[in-house]
Amino acid sequence: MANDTLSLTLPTKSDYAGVVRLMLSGICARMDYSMDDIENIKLAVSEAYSNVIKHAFKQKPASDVTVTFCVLADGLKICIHDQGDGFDVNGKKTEYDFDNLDDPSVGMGVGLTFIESLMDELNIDSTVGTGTIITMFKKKSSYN
Amino acid sequence: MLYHKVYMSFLDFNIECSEQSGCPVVKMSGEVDIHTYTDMMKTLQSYIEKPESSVVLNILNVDYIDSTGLGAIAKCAHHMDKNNGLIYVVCNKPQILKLFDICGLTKKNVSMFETEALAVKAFGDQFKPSNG
Repeated sequence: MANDTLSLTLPTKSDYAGVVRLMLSGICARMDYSMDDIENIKLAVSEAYSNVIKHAFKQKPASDVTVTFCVLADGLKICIHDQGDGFDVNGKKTEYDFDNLDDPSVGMGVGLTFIESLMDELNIDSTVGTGTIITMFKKKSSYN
Repeated sequence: MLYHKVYMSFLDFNIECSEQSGCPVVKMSGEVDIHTYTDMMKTLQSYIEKPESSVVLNILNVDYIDSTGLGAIAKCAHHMDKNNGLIYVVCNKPQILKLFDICGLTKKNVSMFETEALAVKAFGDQFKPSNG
């Protein structure tokens, strides 16, 4: 399976969050990941997809999200690409701010914290007005 | 076997509300994500407006919860804190327990228990009349 690339294009609708996880489960189960790792990857990618649904299209009309899975010899790289509003990467939060729970950015910051905690690499490339590409990588257990 | 376990948890979410010895218990099962957390939020909201409200939230059969689901618990905890209420979360999955720690929920009025019986007992102890 090494060096295979799979791609999934989805509407920005919460109905499909489970579909992304289902596809990931299928890919990860064919690689050398433990159940814990599979759960971590599912959560991380689902968080990124949820962020797009919640935050990416406040200004611009909603368009599709593309999730690309790159099966590499040492692990799985996943890119979540939207062409939404973009955001300030430095403004993210790390825990729930209990005094500002109605702040729409709250969920996003915590979602990114989860991704950082659960994956081996995370890169966020976002430009206001152009969109966001979140790239994450999880090393296979046998490479740890 | 592995595939079976992974696929069985797909798109299944249920909520049951009950009461045990005066203690409100919300039992959830399945996956809590951006698609299902609003049902959870609506259920929890029905408890947060009562004075001195507290609730046992049993998520033993929740296979998956993300930041939207945990955010709903955070909001509920925040409102209950204003009325000195607590959320007694019943959870024994290390995968989910670590998320409560990462997002800081356990620093607030959210207590974790391994069984529903322990959570209901803690609820009873909170509301036990003082002898003074």
